[in-house]
Amino acid sequence: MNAYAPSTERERREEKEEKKGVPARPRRHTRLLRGSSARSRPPIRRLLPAFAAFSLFAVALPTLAGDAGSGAGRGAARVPLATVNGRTIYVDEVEGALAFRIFQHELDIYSLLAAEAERRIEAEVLADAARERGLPVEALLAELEGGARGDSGSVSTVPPEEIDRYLAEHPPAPGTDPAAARERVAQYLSERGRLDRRIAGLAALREAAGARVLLAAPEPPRTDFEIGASPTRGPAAAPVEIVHFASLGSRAGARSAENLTRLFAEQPGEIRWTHVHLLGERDEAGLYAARLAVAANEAGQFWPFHDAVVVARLDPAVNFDAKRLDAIAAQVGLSARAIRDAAQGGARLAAVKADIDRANAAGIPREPGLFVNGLFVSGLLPYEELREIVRREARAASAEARRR
Amino acid sequence: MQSARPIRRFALAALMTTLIALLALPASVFAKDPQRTPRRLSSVGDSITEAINAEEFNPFVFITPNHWASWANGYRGFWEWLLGRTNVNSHNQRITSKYGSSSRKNYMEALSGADSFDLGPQMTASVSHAADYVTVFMGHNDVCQNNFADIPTDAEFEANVRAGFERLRTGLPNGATIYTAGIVDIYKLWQLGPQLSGALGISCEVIWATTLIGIYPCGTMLSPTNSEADRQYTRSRNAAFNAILADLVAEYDAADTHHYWEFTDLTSTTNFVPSEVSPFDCFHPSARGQKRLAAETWTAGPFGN
Repeated sequence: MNAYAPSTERERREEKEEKKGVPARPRRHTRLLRGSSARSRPPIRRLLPAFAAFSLFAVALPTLAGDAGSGAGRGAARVPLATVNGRTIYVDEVEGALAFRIFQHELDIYSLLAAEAERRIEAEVLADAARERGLPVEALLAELEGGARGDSGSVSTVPPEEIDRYLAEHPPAPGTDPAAARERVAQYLSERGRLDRRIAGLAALREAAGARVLLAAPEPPRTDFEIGASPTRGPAAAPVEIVHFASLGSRAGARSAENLTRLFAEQPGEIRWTHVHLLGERDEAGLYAARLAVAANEAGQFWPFHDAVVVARLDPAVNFDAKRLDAIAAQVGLSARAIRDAAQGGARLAAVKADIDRANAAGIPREPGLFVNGLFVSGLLPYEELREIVRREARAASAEARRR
Repeated sequence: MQSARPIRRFALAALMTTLIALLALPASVFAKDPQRTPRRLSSVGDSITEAINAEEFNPFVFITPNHWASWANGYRGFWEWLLGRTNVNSHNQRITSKYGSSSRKNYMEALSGADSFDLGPQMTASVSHAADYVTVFMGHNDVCQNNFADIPTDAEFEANVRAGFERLRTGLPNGATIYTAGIVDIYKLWQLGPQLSGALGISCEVIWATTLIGIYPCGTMLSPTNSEADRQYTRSRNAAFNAILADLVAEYDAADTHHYWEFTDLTSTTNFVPSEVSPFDCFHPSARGQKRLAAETWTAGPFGN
């Protein structure tokens, strides 16, 4: 199977048909890590398992043979990753949790291949066209450009009124020497003309050659993020699971939480919301709030603490500091000792660090970020756009439920 | 007395041979002062050296320095450990690793928005810091302008760089090293935008459109009103400035007997991939991009081997 397949019409159609058969939200993405179908993955995503299969095949032969009997058909298509105490760990058991990070690598691979495709296309259309005309490539390029390249003679051919017009429409930065500005604009206009001709000529050659890049870009995946003991609100069976990676000390994190609070109220019973601490650089307030939040979670008071902190963070009249956070912690019932332990103890810092490590492992680029049913969404998204994503996920989930 | 003649003749012959051998050597081989250990690092540059938006982004500021992730001055401390930041293994870190932490200084003169017109003040700061090792990574904002009329001519750019180099030549301690890196091919960064868009919950096009209202820099490459010819023009200026940098460095290295001048074009020939570009502004190198810049420039640089 070609890992970089489709873009023939037939293959595109087949893929669409496959997609129709796959619900928009094919599985739940948290708590349990489950295998995903290679057929439903975008083309680039097929690369890693295919590569892994190829690479591991030789070394994994004994394991594959050992599993053949017990795999009951399932094992035959699975790619072994490791073995421990005779038990095989398969790629599909771990790739769900790494999906977003793997996707980022796939994007790199796609980018390299697409850039190389463009380079090859240009070289080949030029070589073919030059051969047809019996010219060296350089001569063909000069012909396309309609004259010598970038020499001072062509600069002087730009009419002064064209320079005047450009300068009138695009005034240079204050303090620029007018003569220097004219010289720069003359050079720009002259070169732009040559480049325009070259680009148009190359485009015509490409079109005549039927040149196009066939490789399809990878599509964003759904990540199986393990919630673990993170604080969660909303029904366990809610159709939309949101994991919020945010700092309680940042304004952006608080705004994102505010959006989620609004959505949570507008879509009752449809959202299950999990909070994971993720901080910004030198986010002292966020770190302190996170430590107190860990203590509040242990006391069963995470969400009251969270909500009060978000309100305080967004209130310009509130001095958002350790004293204020201590007061909020006390309001939700944390004892003075619990507050002191949270502020000083290493255990709470370790818990916050563990959250940050989990977010990093999942590939979250910054706070605030979200997984909405495993799909990464920036926490900076406007409320309306976030609401649309959540509604789309809810609709897909209910359609899936009806099909069942 | 008679026995002294052959000895005197021999000494004269040896002296002549030595003089001829010395004259036959290129001037740079014997005339350079001993190269200083790069304990006092000073980076001259712009937002790339400041690692703007490399790994952290404040949406209310938009231009967020991430100094820990700088290819030149990057470091690791408590916050970098806590947040699991990328260890870019910067020149600063590599110097400490190779030469020890004694007498180490790590100066960042680089400033977001700086261009070749700022080389003078930044290099004056390098001189005042008595730097042993100056990295120069400048010129991105010369090609990244709001307006094509603001891109300097070759002559202007060369004059700016020459003036800056003169300050270093006349002010740095003997034996210091000046390492200049070519301007990144910003066209290649622009090309990655569509691939980054959507993938990480951002829209590069929306960010770049803010060049029209002066919020985001580099309209000469990123403005949505640019034609392909416009972008190619900017790219051609990029290449022309790199050629000037390479020529000037070669000239100074040949003529300056007190300092070591090196240039690398690795930075300008690098094909960045999406993960090496900031997921926040689709333009600056990400921490991974900075890490790559650090590794490649160090390996190719004066202290890499």
